[in-house]
Amino acid sequence: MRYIIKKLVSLVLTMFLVSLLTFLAFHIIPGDPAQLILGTNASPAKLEALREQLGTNRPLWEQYVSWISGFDRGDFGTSIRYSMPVSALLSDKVEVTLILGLMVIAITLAVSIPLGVFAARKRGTVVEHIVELLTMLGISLPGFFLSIIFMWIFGLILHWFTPGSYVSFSESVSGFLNFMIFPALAIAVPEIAILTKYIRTAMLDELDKDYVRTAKGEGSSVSRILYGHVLKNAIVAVVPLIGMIVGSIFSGSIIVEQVFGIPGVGRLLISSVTGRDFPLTQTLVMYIALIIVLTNFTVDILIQVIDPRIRIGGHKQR
Amino acid sequence: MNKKLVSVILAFVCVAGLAGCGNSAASGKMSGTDGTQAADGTQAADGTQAADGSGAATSDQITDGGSFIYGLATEINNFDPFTATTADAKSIYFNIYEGLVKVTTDGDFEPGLAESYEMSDDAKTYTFVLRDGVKFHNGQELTMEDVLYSVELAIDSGITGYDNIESFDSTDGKTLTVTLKKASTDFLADACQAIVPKDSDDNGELALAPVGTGPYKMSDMEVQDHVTLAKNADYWGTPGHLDEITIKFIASSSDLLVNYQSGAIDGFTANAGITEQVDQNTSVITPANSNAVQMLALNNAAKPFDDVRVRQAVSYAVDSDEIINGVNYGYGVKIGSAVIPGLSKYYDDSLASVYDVNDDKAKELLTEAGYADGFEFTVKVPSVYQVHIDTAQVIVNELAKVGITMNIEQVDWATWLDNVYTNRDYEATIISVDGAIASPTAFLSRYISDAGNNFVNFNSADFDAAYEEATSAIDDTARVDGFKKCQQIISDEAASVYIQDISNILVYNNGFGGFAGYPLYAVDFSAIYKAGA
Repeated sequence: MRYIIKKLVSLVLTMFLVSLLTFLAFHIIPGDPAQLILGTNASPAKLEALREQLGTNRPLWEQYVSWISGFDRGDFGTSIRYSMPVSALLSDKVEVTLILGLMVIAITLAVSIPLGVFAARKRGTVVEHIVELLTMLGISLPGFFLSIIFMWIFGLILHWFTPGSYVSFSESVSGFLNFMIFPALAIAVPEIAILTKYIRTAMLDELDKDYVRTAKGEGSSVSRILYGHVLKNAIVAVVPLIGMIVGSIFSGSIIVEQVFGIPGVGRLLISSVTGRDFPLTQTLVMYIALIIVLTNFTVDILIQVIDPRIRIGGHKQR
Repeated sequence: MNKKLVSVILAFVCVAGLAGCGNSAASGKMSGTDGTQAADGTQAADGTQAADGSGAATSDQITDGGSFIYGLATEINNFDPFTATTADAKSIYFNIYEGLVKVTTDGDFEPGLAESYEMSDDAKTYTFVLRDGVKFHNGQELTMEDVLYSVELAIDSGITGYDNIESFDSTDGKTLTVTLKKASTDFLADACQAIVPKDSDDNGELALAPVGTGPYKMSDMEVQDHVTLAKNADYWGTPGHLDEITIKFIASSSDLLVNYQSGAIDGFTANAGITEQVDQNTSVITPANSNAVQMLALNNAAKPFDDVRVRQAVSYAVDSDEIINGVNYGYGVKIGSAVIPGLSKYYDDSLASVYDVNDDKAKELLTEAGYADGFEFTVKVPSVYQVHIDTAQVIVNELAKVGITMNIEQVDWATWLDNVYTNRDYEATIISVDGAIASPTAFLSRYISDAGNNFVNFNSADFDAAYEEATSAIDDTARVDGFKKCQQIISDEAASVYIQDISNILVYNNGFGGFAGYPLYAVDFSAIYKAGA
């Protein structure tokens, strides 16, 4: 219990630091949102009036305080660029990115677990080398590059979807899924590669252990050993990776949403930064940080539950 | 086929390069405006030069109805004609709002919401007779009240030219009389400013819910995705052909091509390089001047560019032809002047060859100025404009030949606006400057020594005097000569290096026609039609 409280405190502290860092970053980068909105043909009077209206003529720390003081009430302020409440802007974007993220996780797990087990089982054969080569390739291919390749192959050549024609969830569920599968794949491939590699290594470690030899000696079938014992233990070793993967999914979606033209959180984040939209950027960063921090928190707890021997950050009990 | 594949792959690689900062292109420009456009997104064509603005569909038959999807690499989320002064926003709301006067494709003026207008002989008083039977998109009838409200709003908003209004009034509710403080033959251009319903924009409501009198009205808007315009059934003039126009916001200019090839959009405007990758059999490719002056802007107040000889040396060292051919595949017009060739009446084409590349002369001038061994400086280039970055890379080599080392620093659009445009804290930059209105003043006023937008810090008493003389001239010849003199002074002083008017390439599916070019940023959707089968 003390462990959980400790973790919770560090969670809140992390979030606060994230908000402070975003604020500091905004303090350092040059740029005037009013000028960005009005452009270079704007008169000085008009600029000043807009700054007043947007509240961007106040010192940044004041903007920060007013933003953070609304946070606990669920009021994230008004977007400078879109002149809309941030929460209203976020609501439809969040579900898009969330579904995208879930699709990525589903694809990643569905592919990498069997693939990792398969590679481990075929140890020392050509198949193992091929899988290894593919995972290396997957890890080294950046998401945006894959996005472009996918748009080209599946969009322009095979016509399985129309690049650029994003279909919203409310318009057509099947159309939405049909479109989203490709960006989801683009984000998933590097994750699949990493996870497959880890699962394979963990499996091999386990396979060398005494209990496997014992099981073999007892005459259990290879499949039973692999799936019944080895995989279970291997997965425990892989759980900590999930936090990392969720982080990569978000950073991946920022780029991939951009390339595929998906109106999600990632794309909104980029335009909020380039538009120097402080309340919007701050909220988006916090939102993404929260998900990642919460995932890691859950993962830590989960590890505790699965394997009580591990005490992260504490003393090891043997 | 193979060649095509290669070019497609190359296009993708381009996308790759930009993907990361994609939307910055968008916001850059949107916010960008005047300074910028060289590139994509905005369609702008020029009356004199634009090849065949009238469109070239496969069939001559015009069918009414249908829809057109126009791709734009900039997101527009402000449609308020009094605050959205950016080029892309203007190019779209050109279809929504109308002024008392309208600009024609060849840069002339015609009656808009005023059925007739008149300028007094001393160019100080303008009268406009309001057109009857015009309805706003909200069904309300246009009255003089609305006009007075709009003029007042334009003055309050600091719209160009409106600060010159001494008084304006209507005695009979039908005729508007505007008296200017200073004689100006330019007020017709200024009178193109939108007329909106009375009290409709007290709190900037028009930004997201525009109401005008134009041939198209706003029907749908989704942040980061699209804006849909529907045909105005009650339009007083010649109505548009298409029922619906969707402006789709594409994350970055390089994604436009993919969207076009996949059929997600029907047309877009881009840089020259893209023409190589478009299927010529199904597309119409129309180059048109961007109506912006691409320049290597030199900060006249920063060393060593405070020395006119250094500026001239740089001008001699930069080879505009090489840039036009190397970066723009030949799609660009060499200018040498601060005014666009599109304003043909005022543009002095003799200036284009004044600084024809001459490395010996450049070295000579450098030696005279005390830089026999050359010098080193940094050019701040807005990273959202690939065309300017490419241009910078060509210039690096050109300047190296005369011993000058130029370092390229890429900055994002907001940083550019802050460092270069607002604080003038830079040595040199590459940018395209466009004009707010179809008049030479839009291009030349920024060179007045104390102008707020004189970001090159040009300082010349001769120029200030010449500009004053030109703008106060009422006689047309005197006015033209005056503006030519202004350009001459800028050229003599080598205020900056004037490279080209980059051509924008309008690409659209040949199932459509009717694209018309204007000497300012505008996409006239009402002229576009679906070609009949």
